[in-house]
Amino acid sequence: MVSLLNPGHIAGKPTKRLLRFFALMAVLVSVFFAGLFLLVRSDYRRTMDEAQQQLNHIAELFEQSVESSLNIANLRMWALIDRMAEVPTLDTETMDEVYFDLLTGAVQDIDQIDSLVMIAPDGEVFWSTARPLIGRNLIDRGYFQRALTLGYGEFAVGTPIISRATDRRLTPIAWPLLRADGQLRGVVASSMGEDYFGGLLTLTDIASDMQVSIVTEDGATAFMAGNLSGDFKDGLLEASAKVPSLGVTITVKRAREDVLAAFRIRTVIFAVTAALLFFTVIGAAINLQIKQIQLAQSLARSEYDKRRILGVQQEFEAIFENVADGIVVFDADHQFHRSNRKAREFLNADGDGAAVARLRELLPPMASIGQDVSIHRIEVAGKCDGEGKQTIQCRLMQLNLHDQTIHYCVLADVSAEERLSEARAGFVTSVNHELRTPLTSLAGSLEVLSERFAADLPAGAARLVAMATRNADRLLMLVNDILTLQAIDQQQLSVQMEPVGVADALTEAVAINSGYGLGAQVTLTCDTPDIPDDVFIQADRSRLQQIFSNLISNAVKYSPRNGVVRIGARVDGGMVEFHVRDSGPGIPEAARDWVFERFAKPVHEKGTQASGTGLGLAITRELALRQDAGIDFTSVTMQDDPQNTGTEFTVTFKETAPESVDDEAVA
Amino acid sequence: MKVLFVDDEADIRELIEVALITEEDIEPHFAGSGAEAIERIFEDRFDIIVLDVMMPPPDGLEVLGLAGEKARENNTKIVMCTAKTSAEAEVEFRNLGADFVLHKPFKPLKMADYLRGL
Repeated sequence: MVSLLNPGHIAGKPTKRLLRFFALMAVLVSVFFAGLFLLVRSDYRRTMDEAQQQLNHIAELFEQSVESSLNIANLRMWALIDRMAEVPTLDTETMDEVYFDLLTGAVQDIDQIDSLVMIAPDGEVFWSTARPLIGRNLIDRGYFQRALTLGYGEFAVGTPIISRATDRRLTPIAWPLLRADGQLRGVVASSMGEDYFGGLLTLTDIASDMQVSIVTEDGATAFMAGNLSGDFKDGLLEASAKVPSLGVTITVKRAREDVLAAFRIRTVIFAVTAALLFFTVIGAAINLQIKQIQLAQSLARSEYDKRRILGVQQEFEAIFENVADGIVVFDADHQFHRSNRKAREFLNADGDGAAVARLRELLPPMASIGQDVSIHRIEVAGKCDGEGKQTIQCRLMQLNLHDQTIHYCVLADVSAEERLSEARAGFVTSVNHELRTPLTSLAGSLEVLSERFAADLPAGAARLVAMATRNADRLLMLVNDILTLQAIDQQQLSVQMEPVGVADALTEAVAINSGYGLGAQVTLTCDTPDIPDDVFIQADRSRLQQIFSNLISNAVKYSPRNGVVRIGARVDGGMVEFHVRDSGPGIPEAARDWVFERFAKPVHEKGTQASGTGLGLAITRELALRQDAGIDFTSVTMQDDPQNTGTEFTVTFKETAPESVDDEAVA
Repeated sequence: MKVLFVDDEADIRELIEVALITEEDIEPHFAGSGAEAIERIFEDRFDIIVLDVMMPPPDGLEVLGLAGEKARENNTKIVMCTAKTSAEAEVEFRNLGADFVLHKPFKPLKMADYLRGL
C-alpha cells in the first residue's frame, strides 16, 4: 500500500501566498487611486488659480491701457482747449469759418474721441461735429454741470447713453473751456464709443471665452466685449480693476466650465494613460504570480508523482520478488538479466546472472525458438536431495522493447500437477482392469450357465440367472460409459477422422445393432436405402457406430412391442443428417434442456422410463461434438398427438469430397 | 488346435476352460503368469496364444517382447487380450508383434468361433 502526502496538501501553501499577493495588489490599487485623486485635485487648484491670475492680469492690463490712453487724450484735448479758450468770439459762424478745420482735424487726430460738442456756459450748443445738436440746450446733462466745476487739466465722465442715431453705447466726456486767467467760457464735450474701448482691448491678449465689461460708478455699462459660453452653471471666475481717473470699473469674467474643459481633457488623458500603465504592470505581476504558483504546484505534483512512482516501483519489486511463480527476464546480449526469488530457488542460483545462465543451459538455444510464446519443460534438482527432480514448466515470451529482444520466462512447478495427472491416468487404468476383469468372469459365467446348463436348472433359477445376466451387462455398460466420459474429459478420447461412406455407415449400423432389438421384438430398418455410395463424411468410423449404437439402443428400449426403429440419412446442401426414429412415448419439450446431461433425471415416469446408466446421451453428444457434428431431436408426445408419438434424433455431419477418400485410401 | 491362454486371473482361465470343454477341436492350455507363459512358449508349440496384457510383471507386453520371436518361429498367432479399447493401444500392440487384439470383456461361448476364425 502506498501511503503518501496528498498533492492537495502541498497546493495549500500557494493558496495562502496567493491571498497575500492579492491583498498587496489591492493596497497598490488603492494607493494608485488615492495618488491619482490628489494629483488631479492639485491640478484642479492650480488650473483655477492660474485662470484667476490671468483674469486679474487682463483686468489690470486693460485698466492701464484705458488709463494711459485717456491721459494722452486729456493732454491733447487741453492743448486744443488752450487755443480755443483764447478765441474772442465763440459762436457758430466763427467756429465754422475759422476753426472748422482745426476742430474736425482734432476729432480725426485724437483717437479717443469721435465727436466734439462745444457748449456755452448757459448750456446752449454753439458748435458740434454733429450738426443737429447746434442750438440745443444741454444744461441738464450731468457731465456738463460737473465740467463747469472742474479746474485746469481735469475732465468729467458722464453716464453712458445709447445713441439714438447709431444705437451704440456712448460714454460722454467733458472738459471746461478755461482761459489762462481762469475765466470759464463754456464746456467741450465728446464721447468715447465702444470702438474705442474695443480698440484698446485688442492691445490686450484675451481669450475668446472671456467677457470684458466697463461699468460706471452708477452701475451703467459703458462697454462690453466677448461672450461667455452658454454653460456656466458651475459658476464664473471674475476679476476687476478700477480706473480712478475715469471713475469706472473694468470687470473680466470667464465661465468656470471653460477653464475646466482643458483641465478635464488633460485629466482624462492623464488618468487613462496612468491607469493603463498601472494595470498593465499589475496584470503582468499577477500573471507572473500565477505562473509562479503553477510552477510551484507542478513541482509539488511532480515531487508527489515521483514518490508515488517510487512507491509503486517498490510495490512492484515486492510483488515481482515474492510472486509464487518464478520469473526470469533477460536479453539476447547478456546485458540485462533479472530474476525473482522463486526463480533463483528453482534454478538453485545465487544471483540474477547465475539464474539466467542456468536457465539458458536448460532451455534449447534461443535462436531455435522462433515463436513469440513457447512452453518448455525442464527438470531441475529438487529442494532437498531426497526429493528427487522437480519438473518446471517455462512459459517463454519474446518481447521487443526499444529495438531489443527481451525474453520473459515464467517458471511454474508442475511436479505436483504431473504427479496428479499420472495418478489419474493410473486410476483410470486400474478401474478399467479391476472392474472389467471380475465383470468378464461374472458375465461369462452367467452366459455359459444360461446357454449350456439352462435345462439342468430348477424352475425359477433361469429367471434369476437372466436377471443376473441383465444386471452384469448393465454394470459393464456403466463402467464403459464412465470410462468413455473420463477419457473425453481428459482429452484422451482418440478420434481418427477419415472419410466414411454414408451408405456403408448405415449398413454397418443396421448389421451391428439388429440383434439388439430382437429380444424385444423390435425391428431395425434403414428407411433411406437409395443413398449413393459416393457420399462421404469426415468422421471416426468406430465413434460414429458408437453414436448409432447408443441412439438405436435407446430407440429400441422405448419402442412398443413389434415396433420399428428406422435409421437413415438425408443429404442436403453439403450436410449429411443421420436420423434414428422410434415410435416410443416421445420426449416432453420441458426435458430438452437436460436430456443430454450426465445422470440426467428421468424423462418419463417410472413405468415408462427404461433402465440405463443415465450417461448414454451425454456420451453421444460428446462423441458428436468431437467429430464436429451437431446433435438434436424432435419429438411427438401423447399430449401432442396420441396416435403418432415418437422421437427422432438427428446427427448432422459436413459432407466431404470423395476425391480425398482416394488419397486417404492410397495413403 | 493348441491354444495357450495366459491370464493371471484363475476365474477367467476356469471360465474359458468350461466354455471350451465341448469344443473337441480345441486343446486349451493355461498359464497363470508371464513367467510361466514364457516357459511354456519355449518348451512347446501352440497354434494360438491368447495373452492378457495386464498382469503382474512380466506383463503381456514383456512376454510378447521376450517370447514373440520364438512364437513367430513356430508360426503361432498371438492375440493380445486387453481391457484397453483405444485405437492407439491397438496400433501399439500390433507394432510390438501382436496379430490380433481381443477386447475384454469377451463372450466365452463365442471364443471357440473366434479362435477358429483367425
